[in-house]
Amino acid sequence: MTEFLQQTVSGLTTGLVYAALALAIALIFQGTGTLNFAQGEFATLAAFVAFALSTAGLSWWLVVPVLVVVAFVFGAGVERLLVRPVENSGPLALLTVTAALLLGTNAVTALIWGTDVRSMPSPFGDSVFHVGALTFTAQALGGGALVLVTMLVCGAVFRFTPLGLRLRAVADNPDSARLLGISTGLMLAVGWGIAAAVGAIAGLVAAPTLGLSPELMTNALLLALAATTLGGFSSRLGAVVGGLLVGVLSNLASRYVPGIGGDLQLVVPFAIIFLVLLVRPQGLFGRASTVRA
Amino acid sequence: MATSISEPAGAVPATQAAPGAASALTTPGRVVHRPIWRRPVTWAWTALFVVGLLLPFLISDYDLFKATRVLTIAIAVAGLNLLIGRAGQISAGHGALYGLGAYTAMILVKELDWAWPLAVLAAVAVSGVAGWLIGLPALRVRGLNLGLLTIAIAAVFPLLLNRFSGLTGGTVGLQLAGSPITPPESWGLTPEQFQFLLLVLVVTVVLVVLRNLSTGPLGRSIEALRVNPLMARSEGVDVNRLTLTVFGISSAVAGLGGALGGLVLASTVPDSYSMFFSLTLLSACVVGGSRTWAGALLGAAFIVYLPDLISQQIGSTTGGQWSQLVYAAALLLTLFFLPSGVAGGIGRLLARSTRRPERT
Amino acid sequence: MSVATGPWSRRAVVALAAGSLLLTAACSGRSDDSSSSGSGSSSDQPIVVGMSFPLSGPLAGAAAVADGASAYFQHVNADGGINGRKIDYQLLDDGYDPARQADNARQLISEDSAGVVLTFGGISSATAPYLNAQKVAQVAFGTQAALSDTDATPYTRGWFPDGSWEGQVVGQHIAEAAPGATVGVLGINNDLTTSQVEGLTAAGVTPAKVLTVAPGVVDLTSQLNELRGAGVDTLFLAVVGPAQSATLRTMADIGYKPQVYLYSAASDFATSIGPAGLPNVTGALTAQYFKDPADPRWADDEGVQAFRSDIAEYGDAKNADSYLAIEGYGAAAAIVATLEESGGEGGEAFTEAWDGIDGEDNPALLPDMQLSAGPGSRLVHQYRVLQFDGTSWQDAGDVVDAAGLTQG
Repeated sequence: MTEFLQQTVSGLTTGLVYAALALAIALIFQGTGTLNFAQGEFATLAAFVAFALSTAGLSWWLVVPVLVVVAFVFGAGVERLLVRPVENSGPLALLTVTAALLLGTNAVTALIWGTDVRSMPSPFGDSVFHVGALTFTAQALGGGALVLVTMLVCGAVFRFTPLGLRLRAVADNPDSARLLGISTGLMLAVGWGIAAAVGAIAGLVAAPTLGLSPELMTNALLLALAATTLGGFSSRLGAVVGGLLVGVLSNLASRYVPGIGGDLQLVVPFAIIFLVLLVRPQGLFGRASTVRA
Repeated sequence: MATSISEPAGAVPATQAAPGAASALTTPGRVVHRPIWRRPVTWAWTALFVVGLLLPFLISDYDLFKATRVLTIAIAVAGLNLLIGRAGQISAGHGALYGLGAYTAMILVKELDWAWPLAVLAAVAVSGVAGWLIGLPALRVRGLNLGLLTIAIAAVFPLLLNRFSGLTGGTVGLQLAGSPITPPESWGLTPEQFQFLLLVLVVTVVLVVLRNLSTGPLGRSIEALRVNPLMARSEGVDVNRLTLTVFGISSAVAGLGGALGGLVLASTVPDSYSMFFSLTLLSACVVGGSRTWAGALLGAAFIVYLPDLISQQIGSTTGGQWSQLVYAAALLLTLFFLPSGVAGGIGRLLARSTRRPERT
Repeated sequence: MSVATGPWSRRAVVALAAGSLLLTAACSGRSDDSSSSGSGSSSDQPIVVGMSFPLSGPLAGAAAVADGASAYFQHVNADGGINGRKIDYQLLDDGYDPARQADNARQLISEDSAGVVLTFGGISSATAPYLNAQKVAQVAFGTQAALSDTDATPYTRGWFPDGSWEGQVVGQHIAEAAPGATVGVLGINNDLTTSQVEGLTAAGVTPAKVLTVAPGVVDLTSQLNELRGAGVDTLFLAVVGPAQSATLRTMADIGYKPQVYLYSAASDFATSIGPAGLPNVTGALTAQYFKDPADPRWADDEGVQAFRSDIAEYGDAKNADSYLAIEGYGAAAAIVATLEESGGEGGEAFTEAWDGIDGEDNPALLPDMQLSAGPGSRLVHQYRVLQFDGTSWQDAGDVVDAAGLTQG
């Protein structure tokens, strides 16, 4: 039983990274209507920037806000400069652009910092807490708190601010939004910026546990995509819950379901998705889109 | 239509003039009653075919081997073109189907001593059935959700190959001492020449069949499926059956490419069919132009030749990352300037220069 | 549509463009003697060594191996070459794509007339049939048993020891040091782990738990929980890449402290124990054969110093601490020694010279070790168990020769 609980806790901890990345993916999907395959690489790049900032002597209290701002500007810049030209070329071209961004960002990271794994100290220290027989690391707790705060802030921005209203308007119906005088182009860039900032948090939380390398998010991206599908692309909350579910379920299934094992861990979330999509194509939390003929 | 993967109207110049549902049922640029000597496109393809037949006697075996690889990949991309460009369904998992074809053919030839043509046919059948099964969720899910499901298949396929190592040879895969596709000795051809000629013939057959399919009655239903599934249904098209059929055909074609590719290489290893390969096929489809059949050839050439060309220009132990960066940049620039692919783009450029030179 | 023929002529041009692109891309003409293989034998011609390595993509880290090898070749050239003949090494990128590696092999042989081709990783088996059919010697950088099958592929020689030998050496050490241990193995889902477990079992140690994960999966907390839950107190840890260091760090974090044996190729400072945090690795053991240039123990070592100065002069300076680079450097030294024996010839002369190597010194090997052709025609089959004392890897046993182990 103790191991079962510990496995669940581990699953939640890894799930947090998937959740944050899934949230970033869902944000871009709502705005641009495309999957950003490069989201994981953006997060990796951000983690390296955080690493560089902290080795330069910046305190972690400053690193986080600086990182969020830098990531926002980067994300918005990428949208304006590299995504905008293909905006009207259809979803497939957009998708391919993000695949190209994946390759490019990965190469840039490797060119600047090399391909070796680096150790990134945890911003939260190395302490360990015991609750009963369960073990919690400071990194897991701190990282969890950071991701939760990020999600709450993100949710609040979308729900309660005029900016959030405009973002949602553009996501829901770009044409009407444009008629209302909302600059859809600006909002798309902002959306990419917010997504990149959320992704940066994911990178920051993942790096101390996983080790900093250009491959930091390769696997996490896949699971985050699974999480986004599971939760439903149109739901921010769904992406977060999906991320946690994917983390916990793939942990438990690879441990307790005979024949799966660690090497087929990846199969688990996609098997779940397969079932979910057959029953609820819009995902667990998504809204069914009305068909416009 | 928010999440449907359909190319924008005008991806092919001929549809530019009259996009919309009405034109969907009339195939663009279809010419029925024109004598054969007045069909430039037929002439061009015929010329290309003849060049393909002459090429083995002009260039080195090494270049032929590489060109053969382009052609095997072009087959798979042509299958994707049918699925994406014509039917508007996305698959990010065609690399796995290509791999399935390769492994099926390889296992049959290596373990069961089948003759290679039979093994290739069996591989086509297996991939087709697998594609039909993959198409099942496409009945419920469209657009990017479907893309995600298929990318999952691409991600899981190499893991399964490793898991069932008894059948697949695990990490080191399956190898033959040499390619079984060899010419009869009396022909006096090298294996590379023979393989290239074979592939020229196969690609020709595949392209002709796919083209006829997409201009025939089935093609019009497929076009309707892409433009508006609801309307297609109201016109009496069995949308579910059609979707599965298209998935099956497209996958069988990809498996054909994979089977020939695997047998020419005489080797299959799981690392060949990673998720990355599936995405590369997808980018070949987009870069070439998903709605033109020439795009399949151009896209395949793009993804095979460009990385090599770049790394030969840069070529040092630290140059690998630079080549990856340059490749990404080339991909981006192609999409910026030729959003409907190289083949579509060339057509459009010509349209601009011949019809309305002053148009901006 | 203004003119009916418009779209047709446009599409005709597209088709022609496709054709001409294919033509121009395939540029080199057909020569009459296309069957020339093996390097030219005249005494002043350079010796062509072809290399196909992943320089980009997920395994781009292997570029360091190529860098170390190139540095050694250039060092030899600066000293006058092999019997007066320069080494002309041709390095191509395959992105760890077997099809590109096969392409590269053809280019290296038909365009560059390489007599020896170096390939990296398990995908080398994909290229072996072609190289063997061409009777060109192949040196494959991989631990796979398939690469030491000299009956099936007589022209292929594997560099690195066979994975099962390390399992045997480790198993022997466990049997002596902790006879009643509950042994666990955490590895990658490929034949490396399979062969390591075979080795352990051959040494009389049957692991209580063998867990494998897909390469690229880095967070192994779940697996560690499971091992801990099963009471594993001796762990052979053979996950590679970022996962190795992340797992060591997680073990320290959650306070799981079994006796750890690290896989030799994942026990280096630069990529494994450095990022894991040295205090977290103190007390760990490994069965090793190469010197880690980053280990302070070898700061004054002759071989490591030569490696460092060659990397600084001919290679990428950031590889000076790289274990991968010294692996390539050591392999290049073995290849040069072989070429000296074969008179610069590739093909069969090369494999014969390789199989004849006996007691050859190598700059990368640990002290008291030498290269000799042994089982599977691999040159490295000596190990020494080392223990990490917090700052460097110290000897924790005698030199063990795998050739003496593999009888069973």
